Amino acid sequence: MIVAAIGRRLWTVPIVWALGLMLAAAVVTGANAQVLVVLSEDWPGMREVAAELREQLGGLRDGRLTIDVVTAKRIKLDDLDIIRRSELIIAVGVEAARAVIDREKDLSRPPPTLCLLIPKLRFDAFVGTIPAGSERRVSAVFIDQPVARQFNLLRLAAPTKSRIGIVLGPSSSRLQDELRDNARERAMTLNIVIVDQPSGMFAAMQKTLSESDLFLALPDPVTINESTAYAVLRTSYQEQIPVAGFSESMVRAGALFGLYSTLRQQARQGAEIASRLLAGEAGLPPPQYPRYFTVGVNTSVARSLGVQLDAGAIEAALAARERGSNPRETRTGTEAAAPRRTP
Amino acid sequence: MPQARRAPIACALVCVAGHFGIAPAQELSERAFLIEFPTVVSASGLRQNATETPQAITVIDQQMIKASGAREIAELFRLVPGFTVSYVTYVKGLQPIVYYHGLGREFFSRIQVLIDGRSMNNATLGGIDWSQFPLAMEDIDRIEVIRGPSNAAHGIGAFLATINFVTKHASQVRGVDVSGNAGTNGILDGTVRAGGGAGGFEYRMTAGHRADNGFPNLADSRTLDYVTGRADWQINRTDALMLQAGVTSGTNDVGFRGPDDPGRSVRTTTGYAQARWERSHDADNGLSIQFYYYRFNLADAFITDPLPAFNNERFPFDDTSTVDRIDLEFQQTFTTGPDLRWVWGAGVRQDRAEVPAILSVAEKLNIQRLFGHVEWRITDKLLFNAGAMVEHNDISGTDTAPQVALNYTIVPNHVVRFSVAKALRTPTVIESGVQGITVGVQGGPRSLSGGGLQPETILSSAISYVGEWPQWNITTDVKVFYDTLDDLIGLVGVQGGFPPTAYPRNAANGDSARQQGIEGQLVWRPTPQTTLWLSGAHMETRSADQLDNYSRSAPRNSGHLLVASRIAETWDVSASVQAQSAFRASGLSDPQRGFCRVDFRLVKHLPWWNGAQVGFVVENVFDNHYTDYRNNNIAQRVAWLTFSAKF
Repeated sequence: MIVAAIGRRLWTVPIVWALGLMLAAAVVTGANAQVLVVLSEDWPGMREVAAELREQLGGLRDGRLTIDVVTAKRIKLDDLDIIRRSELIIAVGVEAARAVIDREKDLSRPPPTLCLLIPKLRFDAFVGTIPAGSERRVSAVFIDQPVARQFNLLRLAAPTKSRIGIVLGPSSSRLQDELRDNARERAMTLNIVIVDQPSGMFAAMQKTLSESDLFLALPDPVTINESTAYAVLRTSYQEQIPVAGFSESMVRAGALFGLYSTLRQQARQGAEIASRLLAGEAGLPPPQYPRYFTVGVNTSVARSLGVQLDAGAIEAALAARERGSNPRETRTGTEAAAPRRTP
Repeated sequence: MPQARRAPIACALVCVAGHFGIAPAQELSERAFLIEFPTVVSASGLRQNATETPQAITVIDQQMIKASGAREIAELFRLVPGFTVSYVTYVKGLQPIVYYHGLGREFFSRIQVLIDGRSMNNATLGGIDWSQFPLAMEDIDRIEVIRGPSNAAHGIGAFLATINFVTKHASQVRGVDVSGNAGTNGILDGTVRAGGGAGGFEYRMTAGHRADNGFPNLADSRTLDYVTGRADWQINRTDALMLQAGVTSGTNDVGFRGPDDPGRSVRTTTGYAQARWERSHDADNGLSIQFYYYRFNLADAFITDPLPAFNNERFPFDDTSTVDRIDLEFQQTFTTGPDLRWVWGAGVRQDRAEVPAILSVAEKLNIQRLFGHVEWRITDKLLFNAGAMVEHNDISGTDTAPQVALNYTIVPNHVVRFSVAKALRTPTVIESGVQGITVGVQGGPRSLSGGGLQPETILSSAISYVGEWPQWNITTDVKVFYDTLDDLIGLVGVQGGFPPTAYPRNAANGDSARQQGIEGQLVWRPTPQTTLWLSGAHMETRSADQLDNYSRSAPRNSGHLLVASRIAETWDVSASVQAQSAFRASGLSDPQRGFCRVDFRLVKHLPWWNGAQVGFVVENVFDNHYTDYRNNNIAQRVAWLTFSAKF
């Protein structure tokens, strides 16, 4: 009926054509993903990061900013257009970063790339493969917590424990010097054991725990993985040695307290960097550690060990200590959205 | 942070690593930071701080076990305030016996002993066969001794005290460990332990042998062989399955009562299988289901010597006993709000005893129980605990055992506890199976026919103080108690018939007793290398002693000091002193005089062989000839060499 109505008035035809062209143009330009988020794999945690990015960035450019989310697999297989057309690429995880940086080598003017959820060790290695002059083009928010912050937390949460036990693996062993420096500054003694195979963890834990008041767990696929995770927490609890953990999951499982940035906190930091770039800043800031963090406490383990810990107070004190030592970092404050206390 | 420019070699390393050596699972990625941890400190695995327990508790850990030098598990309880360790020989060979606050005779001591929640109390007479204990010392994670009644938390039999052995999780044993002892008095022990596992399934196995000659002037040698195993399967983040099984076979040389009790060897075999499934989201929420089966068999068929009173004839006799137990229990822990933690559960048990010498048919005892417990943090300083067990059994019907406790924090690390608990001890199959006696004296043993036996009851009130001085590494707790016991079951007479056995002829609810005293412990770690454990107790018992001796059954004063030190990084030295005043145990005992005993241990760690150590232990260094239970059980100095190694 509408067609018939239009057909009767011939002057409407060019109007329809114009509308059609504008619609097509809009579709075509909208297909240029302005921000491309690449996920290492299609896993709920990764999707949570993507959702947070969408939420934080969605309001930019009067809501006309388009955000595409793809997996690393697609990047490896697809043609380069999808990268070429983007204003900014956010790669979430090591696989995504590797895939994006690899493919960008084939472009003459690759877009700015921000890596999230990437360990510093891996990012530093990738950056080594990029030609010179890329400093403002490729950056990252590391998934690792700065060593100084971890040791500040130990001082705040466990002031009487000064013999710290640590087991390092091939990846985490590069932190040795930094760990020792931070410990020395705070008059702590470190008992470090290095293993190169998961099977060495058992003996390493026995040795470390016998000489320590607290066990600082550091992420490393050789020392703390699916086969050793249980034994690490179990052995420590059996010896009544508190564990300082590195994730919410670890605190719930039995670590006394932990320092970590939730996925939402990391995504938020990534979104802030992205929005500054999209607003016209010339390049990305240098690679940085997470700014927003959470201190979690397992209150049942705390009671069992006879200690009182206030996660909120410790978190605030830790943030204040960082503000004090880094006056340029004015945008601090910890994320209040994430739960502070493990129920 | 300045962006680092890495030399091309870093690229080469990454490329090489990616292509050659490091397996993908070991390559560092965000996964290492985001790993899902299974619940380790679960509802059942959470250890209550000593300041928050509703009862006085002593924890014996591996450090204390090693420092004590003990080769016999029962010996460890000398370290716990209020406990007495003794040895009985005349019934079924050398048998350690462990009492809390006395009130124990040769067969049992009114305490509950559990291994990972599995009751070890023998269904015939409620005692513990410490000589056949299916557990290697090295497999103990810790021992929780609850000094006081706690039916609500620890079930049937938790009358005077509960000893809860927690064994090592299968993931705690890796590789192969070997250890052994050899020494005077025929001491020869050996243990081999192995553990391994992959992908969330862990196992450990232990095989052991233990032998010694008992008391010097008695033919009471004994041996024990055992194989035990445990598997732990972490099914997913919240679900775990524990499986345990074991068998023991041991011999005891017996035969001291005369020609009708000729010298011979009796063989005891036991076996058990246990499974526990647990789902635990975190330390405050979880549920578990546990099932176990336990079998005990004492084989003692013999022919007497020629009996002069019967024309020098010899008579065959069968003193065999067999006991089976099956037990199924469900338990759930949950919180309603940050200040309320609840535990509730239910269980059923069936004990079956076959003792041809005194029971014409196999006797069964069915027990059902329902229990619950709530922990309420009223304020930061006030913690309230309440619990109850309701038990129904075939013999005595339904009874309730409630308990309450209030823990008040005076200042941080210093807590005062008020507790009142009522508990009951269910009569055992034998006690309920023998004839009741009819005596009508006012206040005397009540008249009952077989089957009318009532459970013993205790009402225990205590005020305790628990304190910690973290700056000096001192923890202490002291308890003042007043306990009232009623309906204590006395075993009267010895079975008639021919030949006479050691089993009682009658059982009746008879005496009451009042116990009061003070006991405490202190642990001090003056340096990281030295630890000191001190315990002591003073108590009195008042009873009319109509059916048995209760009033002198606990030493009035006892104390123990254990000091252990690590010297020059490879030497472990420890010494312990135990002093105990005179007492006389219940049952057919002789008075035991007060004594003081010193033990010493010295061990050297071998640095060139990781995990290996050699040393020696001397028990009763000054060769004090005190007696245990009967006058012919004379203690002596014993020494042995010890070694252990890891492969």
